[in-house]
Formats: sequence, structure tokens, C-alpha cells
Amino acid sequence: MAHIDIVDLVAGYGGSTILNGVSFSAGRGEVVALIGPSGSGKSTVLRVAIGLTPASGGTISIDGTPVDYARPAAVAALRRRMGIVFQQYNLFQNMTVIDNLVLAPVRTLGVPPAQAAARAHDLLARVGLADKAGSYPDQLSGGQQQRVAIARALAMQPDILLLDEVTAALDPERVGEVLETIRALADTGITMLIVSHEMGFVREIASQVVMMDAGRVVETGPPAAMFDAPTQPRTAAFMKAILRH
Amino acid sequence: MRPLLLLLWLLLAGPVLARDLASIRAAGVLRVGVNPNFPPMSSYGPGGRLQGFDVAVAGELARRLGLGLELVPTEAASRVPFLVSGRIDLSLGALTITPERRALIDFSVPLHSEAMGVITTDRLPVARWQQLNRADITLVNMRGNQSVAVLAEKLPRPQRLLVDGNADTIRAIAQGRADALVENVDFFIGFTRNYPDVRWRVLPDPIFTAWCGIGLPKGQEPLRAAVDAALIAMHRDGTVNRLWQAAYGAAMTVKVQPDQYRRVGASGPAGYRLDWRPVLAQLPYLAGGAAISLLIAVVAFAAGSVLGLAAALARLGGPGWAARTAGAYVAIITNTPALVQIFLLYYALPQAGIRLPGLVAVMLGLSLNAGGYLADILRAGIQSVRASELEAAAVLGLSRADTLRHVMLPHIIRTVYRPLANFFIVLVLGSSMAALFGVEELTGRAINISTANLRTIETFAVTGLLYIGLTLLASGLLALAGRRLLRVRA
Amino acid sequence: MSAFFSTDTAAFLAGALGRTLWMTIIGCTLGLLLGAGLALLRRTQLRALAPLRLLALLHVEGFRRVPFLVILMFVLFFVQAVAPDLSLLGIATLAVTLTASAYLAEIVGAGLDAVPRPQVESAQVLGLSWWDRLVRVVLPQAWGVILPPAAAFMVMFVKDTALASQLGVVELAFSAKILVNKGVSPLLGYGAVLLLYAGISWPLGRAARLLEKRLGAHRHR
Repeated sequence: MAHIDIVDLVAGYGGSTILNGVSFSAGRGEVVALIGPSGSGKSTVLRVAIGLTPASGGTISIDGTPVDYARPAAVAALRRRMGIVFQQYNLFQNMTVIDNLVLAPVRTLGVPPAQAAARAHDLLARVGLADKAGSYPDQLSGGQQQRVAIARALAMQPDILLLDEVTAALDPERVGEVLETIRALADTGITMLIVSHEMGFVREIASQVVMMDAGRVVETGPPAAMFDAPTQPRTAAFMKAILRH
Repeated sequence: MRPLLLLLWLLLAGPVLARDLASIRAAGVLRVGVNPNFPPMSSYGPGGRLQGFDVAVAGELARRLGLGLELVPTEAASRVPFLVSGRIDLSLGALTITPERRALIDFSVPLHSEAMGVITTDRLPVARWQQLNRADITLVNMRGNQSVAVLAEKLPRPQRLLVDGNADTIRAIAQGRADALVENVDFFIGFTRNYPDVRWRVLPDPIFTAWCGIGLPKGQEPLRAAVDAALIAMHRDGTVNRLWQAAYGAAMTVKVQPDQYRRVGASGPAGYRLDWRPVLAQLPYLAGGAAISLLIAVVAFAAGSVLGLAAALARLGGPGWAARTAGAYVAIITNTPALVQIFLLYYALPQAGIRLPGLVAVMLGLSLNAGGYLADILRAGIQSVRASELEAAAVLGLSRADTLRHVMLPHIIRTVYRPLANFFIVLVLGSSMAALFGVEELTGRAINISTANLRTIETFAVTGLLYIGLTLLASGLLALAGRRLLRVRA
Repeated sequence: MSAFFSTDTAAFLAGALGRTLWMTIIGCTLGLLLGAGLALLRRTQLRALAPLRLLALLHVEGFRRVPFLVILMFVLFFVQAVAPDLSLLGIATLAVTLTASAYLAEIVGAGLDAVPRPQVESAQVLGLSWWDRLVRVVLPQAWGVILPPAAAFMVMFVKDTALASQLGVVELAFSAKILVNKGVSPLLGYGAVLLLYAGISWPLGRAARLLEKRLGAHRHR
């Protein structure tokens, strides 16, 4: 059974359609990468999955059970096992790094503060920022903030992690440190949906690649097949355009 | 939200009822409304204690009823609503017995007379009150007093100036804003002592005599019987006339006669029910007031803009003395209430021989006030022009006029348009202060109506809605003008 | 003239000053709480709260478009019909609260809106409750945006309370009127009170601007 199974997802604002029947699935521990041109709906898939953007049709099932996004309790339960990291890090600007990591486990999972703090320090060490616990977000570089954001998501101990273009806002020399963190994460067995433009990274880390365009899935396959022998002309054109740079 | 719930409750359940004699006795304290600005009836004496004829009568009544006394200060316009709601048990303050008031409250037997005569000065060469019926004469009147209606009937031709306080009537004559006061001479003559330089005169023949009683809430028959019994006893043993003599230093002009001790039956049902018809019938009158409100706001805005621009330029680029003067002007204006600024213009300037009519004083005061605030807004607008753009304009060789027209003005307009539009709304609301200086704009007319029909809640609710409509209209037009003419969003 | 310069007058003016400050401080503080409630209510999404949102909208738009003088009169006659035991000072304070809440709701709302939307979304996806999002994430970041204009508004309202003189509340403006009616010269009476107002408003205004500078420098903390 797929860990996360997305079937026929439809979403849109007002009159415009953003997702027009998107389907794919990810097995437990699998890393699925969503690629495609800007505006193809990749990020919207993640936002719908975590309940930030409402879908108008289709289902998302976790371990075979469809999530009822209309029920606040169901969404709350979902968010205890699914985390997301945004392109713009979105750390709480009014809190220190450690407080960013401790807040949610204590308030939503009921973890004792001391235990949450200990775990937070472990996570910071894992992303290489053990010495930044007392800093405020605006004292860190973009890459450091993004690693804190990943640690914050992990503090909730999710078994599904959504990564939404997490390197797109970073200075080029900072991309590597964040990718290194994600690479380490992939080996822990957590299921990940990654939206990324870092094709080399996608090729290396993803077990499956989903090519999207105009709110639809164009093609799905393992990275080697997708990058070297795409069956769809749209995929081939996208690969050609993006790999030229 | 809560007011809405309360309103709903009021509509459905009716108001809180006045206290009956039993609950007054249980509380042990009689609550009597007196006008605190009405010497020698009642006023604050040394140590801030109320004193005067009404205060003495209230004390004597409470003593004879075996109750303690609580004096509640009430204004002329609020005493009847206070009675209706039960905030006070009795109302003093020269409450003339009239059929309109009888519809809302009950009265005791007469307490004293109200002989209406004329107070004027030697400036006005008339010998009898009938000679006052001329259009070139201004009579001053106090809002909410019975004399307003009497005058409209007996002396329809003179202009009238409405003021809010007893002392204001005599002051208006002393300062030359009005020529004469047609009122109860007993009540008002005391204020002439504040102006010893004026040669005051009282015309000999009273116009007519009315009677004032103690006001009570409707439907409180045991209370009314008890008050009447005490009051009749006070008349019989001469207490009332003695207290009058003590307060006024003279006997009552027309005394209450024994045949007036007969009690009048209670009239009509008790309680306050909302009735919107009297107010809605006056909508055209109120709309006329709204036009005057708008006029005041427009004048103050226009004059204030000129002042404000001058002050802003002086502060930004003027010589030192001009910058300091403008700075002091803005600081004084923006740190003190507009109301007190206008008080000064209206009441203190006559000391220097400059006497402004109410409307002019309000327009001048609001203009000066607006100038201070607009100076700050305009200064921020001028400062919004970036030095780098001015340098670019200079490098491109633009003339000074072109730089102003194409580089500076667009910036300034975009920065100031919205604050200016908001400030205009502030001025529309601020124009309501004119009512306190006898100007009959929207709020002034609302006060006029409510003191006549006593439908205060309804009148002020409708007036509030008119202001909302007026400001929405103004905001809408300003936003439209901004988009169409100046291409800015407001 | 000599009647003015006495300890009686000083005590009288001090009492009036106290009532002016009471109306401003108590009225605006309650107005801030009510205004914050209104601002939060207007930003809820629940369909069940839609009628309350409409009421909040009418309150905020309505009270900002009616002169304070008219609000004072309305509150006076309305309140005394339903709660006749409330003092005139209490009625004036209630009118200040109602008026201030409408303006402060807009100020608080602007502060809430100034917190970037992703900050709220981050808190949402971490499963924080509405209250935790508000208290731990939104308010700490909105505070610096709300406080300076809210403080400036309160300082401004010191002057507007002068209109409560029309209810018969013996605050500063009314105290001047009483003194003048007793024979003090209008220039002296009103002038002295004008100076008293400036004496409160000017330093408080400076303090509010200083606060704005301070908070502006540490906006993101």
C-alpha cells in the first residue's frame, strides 16, 4: 500500500484552475520529486496535501485512508505526521532558533519542555547548527535559516516531509549545505515529496520523478528514464531547456 | 454589539422603570436632579458644594419625607429623559408645567412662578416688550427652555441666538451678540452682576406667567402624593417663600396662590416607548443642517490648506524665525483641543473688542486647527520627494517649473491625498462642535429637535446615521476625484 | 482675577485634570481590548461567525463616521434608559471606549495584517491552535506595529475628551467654563486650561514618537 496516494486532485481559485486532475503516489520511505515549469502547480500539490489550500476534487490518502480536509480534527491529526519546509524558510521572527523548534512539540504534541529542548538540540546538531540555538532568525544566513526550518519540521517527528523549492531563495554558495542536510535525511526512511529545480540533486536522490505542466501530470518514472529517455515531447523540451544552463 | 443587544432589549422589553416610593424608602435616599449652572436656583458654591433655592427645597422635601438626599446634576435637555429612566426620582430646575412634558412625566403642584419678562441694556431703545417684534433685533435664548416656544408665538420676527447655558445668555448680550433676553427675570438677572460696565434694564410688564412644578416619573402615584403633601405644607407655612427670599434676596414676583394647591390627576400611561415619527418628520430640517456642516468643513479645509502649506514651507525652507513660529503654531494647535481653541476665540476675543458670531468663530477656529494638522501632512508629502530624483531632474536639465510639475508634485500628491481625504472627514465630524456656539448645523438642529420632542434616543440615532451617510458620500466623492483627476488611490 | 489664583482653584483644576485622564486612560484601554477583539473577529474565517463579522464591520465603520459629540449624546440618553445608575463620568468613559474601539480596531488590524502570511501558515502546519498562533506568533510580531499608532491615538484622544464637558462631566474644558461663569476672565480661564492640555499632550506625544523610533529599530524582535 502506498504511504501517500494522490488521486485526481483538482484545485483552483475563483475561475482559474491550478490543478486539473493530478495523480501519483509515494511508497513508505520513498523520495518523490515534482518537476516542471513555474506555474505548473507543483507547490499547490504540497499546499493542498498539508491543508493550506483547499482542493475542489480528488482525494489524498495516507496509508490507504482518505484525509477529510473539511474536518479540523482530521487536518490536525494529519499535521502531526506530515511536515513542510517552505521556500522562504518562514521561521518565527520573534523567537530564537531553539524556541522555533520547541514551540510546536510542546504546544501541540504535549512533549515536556525539557525533553523537547533536548531533542531540539539534537536536531540542530544534525543540521550542523548546534551553536546557533540562542540566535534569532535574522542573525543567520539564508542557508542556516533553511536548515533550522528543516529541523523545525523534523521536531514534530513527521513520517512524511514536504519540501517546497527549499533552495530557490538561497545564494548559490549556500545551496550545497541545505542539499547535504536533505541527503542525510533521505537515508532515515522518511517519505519525502520534493519540489525542486536542482535537477542534478533530483536525479541523485529521487526514486521517482513526476513531471507536471499546466496542472496535469505529464509523465512519471524513475529519474534515469525521465532524464535520459523521456517518452513525452513536453518532458523532453523541459529537460532540454533546463539542462542547457 | 452590546449596544445593539441593549437596543433590541429596549425595543422588546421596554425600559427600566423609575423607582417607586417603597423602593426609595428602602434605599433611604431621594435622588433629585438640579441644574448645577443655574444660580441662584443651584450652583457650585465654596468647596464645590451645590447651593441655592432648588437645593434648599430638595433638602427640605427630603427631610419632611424622612429620607436622605442625593443631588444629581442635570442639564436642561437631560432632566426629562433622566426622570423617565429613573436615574432621578424628582427633577427641579425651573421645570415649567407644559402639556408636552405631561405626556412624558408627571408634575407636583406648582413650586414657584415663572414671570417672563425682558432683560436688555440701554443700547436698545424700547419701553415695552411688544416693541421687540422687529427683524433687526436678536433675542438670545437657552436651548431646551420653554421660552423658545413661547417666543416663536409671541415675538416671531426677531432673529434668535440659541446658547446652552444660563450664563451664556447674559454674556451674549454683554458682548453684543444679542440685544435682549426674554426669560424669567428672577432667574437671569443675577448673571448681569458679572458685567457691571453694562447698563442693564428690565422692561416693566411681564409677558405672561407660567408655573414650575417638581417633575416626577409617570405612574408613581404614592410618590407624587407624598411630594405634593410635603410641598403644600411648605407653601402653607411659608417655607417656600422664605427659601426664595434667601436665595434671590427678593420676594417671588408672582406668588403661588392657595387655589393652586389642588392636585392635578395623573395623565397617560408610564414609560418610554421608541417612536421614530417625530424625528423622521424633521428629516428635511436635519438635511439642511447637514448642508451647513458640510459648508463649515469645506471652509475650514480650504483655509486650513492655505495656512498648512504656508506653515509647512516655513518649517522646511523658511528663515529661522518663520520656521520657529510655524513650529510653535503646529505644536500649540496639535496639542490642545479644538473645542477649547474655539472657546478662546468666542469668549476671550471680545475682551479685546473683537466679537465673532458663533459660525465665524467656529469656522475660524476649525481653520486654524486644520492648518496645524495639514501642515504636518503637507510637510510629510514634500519630504517624500527623494533627493536622487531631484538630482536626476537636474542632470537632465529640467527647468524648475518642470521639476516641480513632473517630478515633485506627483510624489507629493500621491503621499498626501489619502491623509488629506481622511482629514476632511475629521473636519466634517469636527464641525459638530459648532452646535455648542449656537450654530444650527446638523448636531445643533438635532439638539433643538430633541429638546422639543424629548425623543433623544431616536433623534441622535437618526443624526448618527445622517453623519454616516454624509461622510460615506464625501469619502466616495473624494476617492472618485482622486482616481479620475489625480490618478491616485484614496 | 484674584479669585483664580487660589488653592481652591488649583484643587478644582486638579480634579478636572484627573477626570480628563481617567476618561482617556480607562476609555482607551478598554477601547484597545474591544478594538482588538473586533479586529480579530473580522479576521476569522468560520462561516458561523459571519453575522458577528458584519456587526463588527458596522461598529468599526459606523463609530468612525459619527462625531464624538453625537456619540456622547446618544450614549448618554441610551445608557441612562437602561442603566440609570452609571455616573456621567462612566457614561463619557463608555462613549470613549466605543469610539476608541472603532479606531483602535483599524490600528490593531493593520498590525495583524503586517505579520507576513507565511508566518501564520508555518504555525498552522505545525498544528498550533488558533490561540497559540495568536499569542505566540502573531501578536509578538504585530505588537511593534500596533503600539506606536495606538499610543499616538490615545494621546490624541486626551483632547477629544473635552467634548464630554457637554454631558456635564467636570473635566478640564468644563472646569474652565465653570470658572469663567464665576467671573474669571475668559482669556485666563480658557488659556490656563489650554496650557494644561498642552502640558499633558506634548510630552506624551514626544514619548509616543520615541516609542515608535525604539520599536521601529527592533521591529522583528
